[in-house]
Amino acid sequence: MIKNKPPKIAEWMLSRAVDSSIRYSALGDFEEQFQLIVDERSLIHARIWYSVQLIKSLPPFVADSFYWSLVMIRNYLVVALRHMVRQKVHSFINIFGLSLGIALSILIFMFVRSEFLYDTFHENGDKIYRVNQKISGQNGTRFLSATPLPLCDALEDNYPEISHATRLGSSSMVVKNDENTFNETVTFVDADFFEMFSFPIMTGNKQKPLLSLASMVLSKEAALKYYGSEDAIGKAMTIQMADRCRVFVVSAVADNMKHVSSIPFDFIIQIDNVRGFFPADDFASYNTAFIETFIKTAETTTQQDLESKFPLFVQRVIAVSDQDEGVELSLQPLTDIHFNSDLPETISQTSNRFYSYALAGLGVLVLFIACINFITLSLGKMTGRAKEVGIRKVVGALRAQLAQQYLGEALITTTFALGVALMIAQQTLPFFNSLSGKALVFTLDLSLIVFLAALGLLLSVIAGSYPSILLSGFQPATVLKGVVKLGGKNFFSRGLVVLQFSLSTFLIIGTLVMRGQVEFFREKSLGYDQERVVDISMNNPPSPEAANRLFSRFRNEIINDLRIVSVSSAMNRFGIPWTRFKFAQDDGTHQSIFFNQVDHDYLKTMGVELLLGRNFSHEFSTDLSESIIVNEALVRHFDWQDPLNEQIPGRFERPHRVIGVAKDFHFTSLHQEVRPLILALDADTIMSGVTGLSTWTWPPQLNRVLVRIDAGETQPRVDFLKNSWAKVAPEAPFELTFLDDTIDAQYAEEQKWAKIINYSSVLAIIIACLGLFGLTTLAVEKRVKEIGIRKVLGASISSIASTLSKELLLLVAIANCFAWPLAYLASQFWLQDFAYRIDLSIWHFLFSSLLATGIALLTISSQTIKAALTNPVDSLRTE
Amino acid sequence: MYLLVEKIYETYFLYFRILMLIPFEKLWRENIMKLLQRSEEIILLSIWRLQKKAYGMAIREQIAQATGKTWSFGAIYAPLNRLLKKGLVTAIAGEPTPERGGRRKIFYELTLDGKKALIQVQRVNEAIWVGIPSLVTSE
Repeated sequence: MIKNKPPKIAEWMLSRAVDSSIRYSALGDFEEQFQLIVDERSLIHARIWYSVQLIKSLPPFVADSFYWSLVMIRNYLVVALRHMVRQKVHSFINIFGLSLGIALSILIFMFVRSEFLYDTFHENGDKIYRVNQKISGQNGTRFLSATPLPLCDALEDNYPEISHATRLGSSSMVVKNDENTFNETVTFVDADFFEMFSFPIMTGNKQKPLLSLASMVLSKEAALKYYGSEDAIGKAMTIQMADRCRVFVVSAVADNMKHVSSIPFDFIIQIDNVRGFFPADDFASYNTAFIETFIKTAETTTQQDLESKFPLFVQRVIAVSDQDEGVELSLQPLTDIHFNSDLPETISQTSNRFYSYALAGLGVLVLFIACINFITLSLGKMTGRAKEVGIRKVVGALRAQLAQQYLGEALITTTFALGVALMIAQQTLPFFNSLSGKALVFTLDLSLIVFLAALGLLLSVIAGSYPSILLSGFQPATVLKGVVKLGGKNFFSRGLVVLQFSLSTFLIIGTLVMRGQVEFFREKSLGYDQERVVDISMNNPPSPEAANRLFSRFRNEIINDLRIVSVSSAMNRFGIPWTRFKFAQDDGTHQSIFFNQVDHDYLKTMGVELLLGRNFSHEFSTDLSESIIVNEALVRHFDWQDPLNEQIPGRFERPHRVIGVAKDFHFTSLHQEVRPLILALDADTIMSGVTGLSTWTWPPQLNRVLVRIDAGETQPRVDFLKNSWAKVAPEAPFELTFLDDTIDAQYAEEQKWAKIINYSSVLAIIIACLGLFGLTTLAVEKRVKEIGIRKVLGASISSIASTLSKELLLLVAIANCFAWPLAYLASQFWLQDFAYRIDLSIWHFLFSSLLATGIALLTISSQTIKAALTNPVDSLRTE
Repeated sequence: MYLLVEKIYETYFLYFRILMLIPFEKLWRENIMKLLQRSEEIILLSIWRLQKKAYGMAIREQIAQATGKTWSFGAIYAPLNRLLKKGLVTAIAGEPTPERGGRRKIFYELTLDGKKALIQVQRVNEAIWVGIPSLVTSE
């Protein structure tokens, strides 16, 4: 009879907008009026009326239904808060555990974000590349980020696609102004530098800071160090280069973006200033590589385009002078530098991406452990909530509404936790900074807020979904009769406890292994004695002769003091890579051997043992010009049968003599194996055969004084050295480091991570134990009567305590079984990076498990013993 | 570290205390006993006037007659819903009719509370109108 129906869409919209309690009635009225209009006028009129009426009615309808949902939410809120207040211990465990986890995640989020934002502050940074060399010879392929000096200009001349190019090198030099003299790392670049990179210039010439050859740009730290609060612009600074001093004028002070930039600098000058500092032909030679080359391409050029044109260029320009090895050029995007550890570190320091991921994983683990607390405690408390669910269902709550309510409770808990977490994170940020070596600043910026909101929602869903599904599924008839069955043995929440403790034990094992490795680094015999040796910089003397004079004056000054055991000098210092010489072979290959120029007492001062032959001696005048000492690794490398009668293979113009073989000592960090090494009193001994080199220290001359001091208070000895230095070189800065500190600093990275993992595992175990504590209180509450009856029947306190703890301890024991293999694999993975490493022993695992179990036992025992001690009269009186 | 824990503890409970200080329940009750809104009053009166015949359409017509203005359904149902939830009005289902798409008519009736509320409104109205000089005569 009725054919005319109101528009479907409008009807649907209406039914969505209206509050459920009046929906039926309102829809009916709408349709009745609609039919009335159809009868009186026409269908079209009716349809138009329906839509217009809908639009008019929508605002009040929507406002109304929103109002009522708010009222319901308020009720949920009240109930949730009541529960939280009633269950203070559990709410505290939930909120505190979650907030510890969230606080850690906030810190980790900030850390990882800053790592991934490295080098991204440059405008057009995606057009900046570093030029790398890939050298394939018969010794295999290796990558070099160091490039020859002339490469930069050659590239710029040959490729119109390259809009800017700069070289980047640095060297340690003495920098003076009127008041201060320090040994500093000076960076040399081409004039394009500040046009390519967007380091913010704070004061001075903002357009062309490196306008003239004598311009110098300071970092703000350097400006502060030399000038304090004074304005540095226009001031003169002197840099001592080789045999002469040059005066520069500070033209600008720039922010070096220290913690987010792979290009460190404090003092920047134009590279042409150092022409005299390096051998002249280096500026034209493709054989040496000790500076980095950066290019910036034009807008439209892609990396592949440019790279595909390089082989021809290499053939034409580079290979002419060096045909022995195949050289390829490749481009590395600026933003790739920070995480790329395939290339040896030069000026730009890299960071291991793996650690960022590991840290993020760690945050997730700890958060997960905190979530498990929430789930297991909610499940444990479920009996208490069952009646509420029953009543709500009886008065008409839908399952979805109930599920929403309990999810909402999880959301409330997480919100509380977020607040507390923000506070903890803020308070612990300085500590975290000192731990991780970052300079993070706490600001609630958009990405952090988004992260927190997403984290809060995600946590609520993870923590709240299972309890809410379970709770909302209760049948009102059964729960209100008082029969609540909680899924028999409750494998789910036990499984979660096992998981929690597996993760905690896993972290403890990780901590122990990392600490073990760091300790191993510290304690492994290095082949020399690094204790009580001080290392004094000679501040790059202008010439080898000046260096020798300075050293012998200083030596004479101190050698007769009884507190000084031995004095020596060397070219390369520990802690940075030593000079590496390349020796071209007749068959077209290269041999690459480390080199250090030393004085007669070097081996004695360092405590390096000689295996064969003799040490350098003043009795043999030829030692100065033709004797060398090699290490065992070199003998092994060339497979020499009679080392003392051998020559280093290569095209030498004059012969040298191997006078001794030193026992292997670790002149590089323990990440690498001991490599072949030559020690000589003068680099000229073997210089005729050298066809290439890579070095941090140049020219070959004595640069460092090494003094072994006797046991006794350090400070007077240091003061003595300082005063003696002032007598010998009153103008020069005195810079002293302890050798063992330098050696330790090589493992700073591992120490840092060992500490971070250490603190995280402490956090994890605290959170897990909080959960365990909560579970025990629940278990004890449930079994109060049973305990009472047991006591009445004569059970002892210890037997009751053990009955109560047995089950949870079993879970912890099972957890260990899962943690062991996992931890074994992870530790192996981490350890394989080190050439010298500890063996995983069963003790790492046993001890971790014992520790975890012990802590768990302690946590449980406070509750179980309390339960066992209660007077049965109290617990049984009500029956 | 100890200081930190203490601080958190303080905030944590302070937070609670502030929230618990807001007397949700009391606010709720006051809300019910508050004087009716004008729209609620008009709807209550219409329902009372229509007695057993008060359903959505009829109420709307009644109001249109009394005020000379046609209210949208939204403007009627939002206050009606409030009256329902406050328990001043109850709904009774009638017979299904074809012109409502097979739906039943829903009739509304005043509850005891509803009547009390109307009486209260009447009293207040009378009280404020007592002694007011005639608006029509005093030019």
